Amino acid sequence: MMEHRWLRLEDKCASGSWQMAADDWMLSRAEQGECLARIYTFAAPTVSLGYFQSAEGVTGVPSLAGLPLVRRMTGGDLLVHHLELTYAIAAPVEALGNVRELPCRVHRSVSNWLAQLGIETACQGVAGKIAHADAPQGMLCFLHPAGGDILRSGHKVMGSAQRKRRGAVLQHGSLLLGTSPAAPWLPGLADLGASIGDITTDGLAACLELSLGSTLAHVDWPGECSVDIASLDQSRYQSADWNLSR
Amino acid sequence: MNPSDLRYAKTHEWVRADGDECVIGLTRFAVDQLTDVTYIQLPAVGKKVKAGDGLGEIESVKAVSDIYAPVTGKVMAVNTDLSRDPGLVSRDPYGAGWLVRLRVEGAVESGHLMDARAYEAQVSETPH
Repeated sequence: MMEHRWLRLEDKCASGSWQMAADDWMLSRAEQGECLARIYTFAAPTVSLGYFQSAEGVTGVPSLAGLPLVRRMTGGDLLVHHLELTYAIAAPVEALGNVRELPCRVHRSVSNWLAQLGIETACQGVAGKIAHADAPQGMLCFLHPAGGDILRSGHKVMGSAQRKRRGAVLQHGSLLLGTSPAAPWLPGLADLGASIGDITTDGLAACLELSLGSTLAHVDWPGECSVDIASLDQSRYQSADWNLSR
Repeated sequence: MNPSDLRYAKTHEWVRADGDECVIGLTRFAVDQLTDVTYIQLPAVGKKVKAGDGLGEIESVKAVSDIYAPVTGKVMAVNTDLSRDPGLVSRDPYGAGWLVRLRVEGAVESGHLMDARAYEAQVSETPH
């Protein structure tokens, strides 16, 4: 793989719409040849929908109905972002090696790191379903592990998704640390007997470095990005047209 | 092996010229980069598209990818079989898995499209 210079943008805790706008902005920069990574959290519990997923059904689930909702630019099903860490990486295809294998590379690296912390997990072999009688049916991403997703005690605790655009790829994914009251059907690591005190954003970033075969150089967010991200946030990720149209 | 009678875009779409129309699909390489295809969104019949603009979107288990128009023209037909069986695009990308038929504005034989040999050279340089 050719050597590329990867930058790690500083960690941010912000609204779901801002985070999705920032990921979209990262992909635009990747289309211009930049290699970017970051770790982030959500300022409030937030529902995110997959790109093609219908918004119908969310209002029928009382614990989800009142939460902020945003549609991702990546595929898959509904996520509840609350007690978790999320990562995003964006780069031109040529900087990523085998793009199809990239989610598994990241997941294997995270699973190995968790093992070093004394938290045993396994990577899902083939796509499957986790049965939960009380959960809303067919809409929760973490009840549908895909091949390579991370499971602990039979529960999915990490998954990732990609968006490919003009020769560049955005990949983001979440590590579920705790069980959100909004999604009691999805236990996080802490509720699966794991001690999560040593799970840090720097540790997760180190996993990305291993998966990418590159170090991540810490940088501040470039000054000019705030206007671009705010514009995307307002015009797309806060708009009902984008979030509720499907 | 990519059919030699087709033209190929850098973004992995193929074009089969047919009089003043053309048929467009995704290459074998493109579909092999996807895991199981779950959904394909194609443009409405009658829509005008410009070469390089978005033509549709395809979702697989792990990724959503944009599909680009390799030529400029008007959409005359879309492959409606893909809505009930999106996996067709993976099983038969150069046949039953075609995407759209366009009435071409200008010529298909434009400089930005490649023949099979040039396309295969491009693919060979792309990480798999």
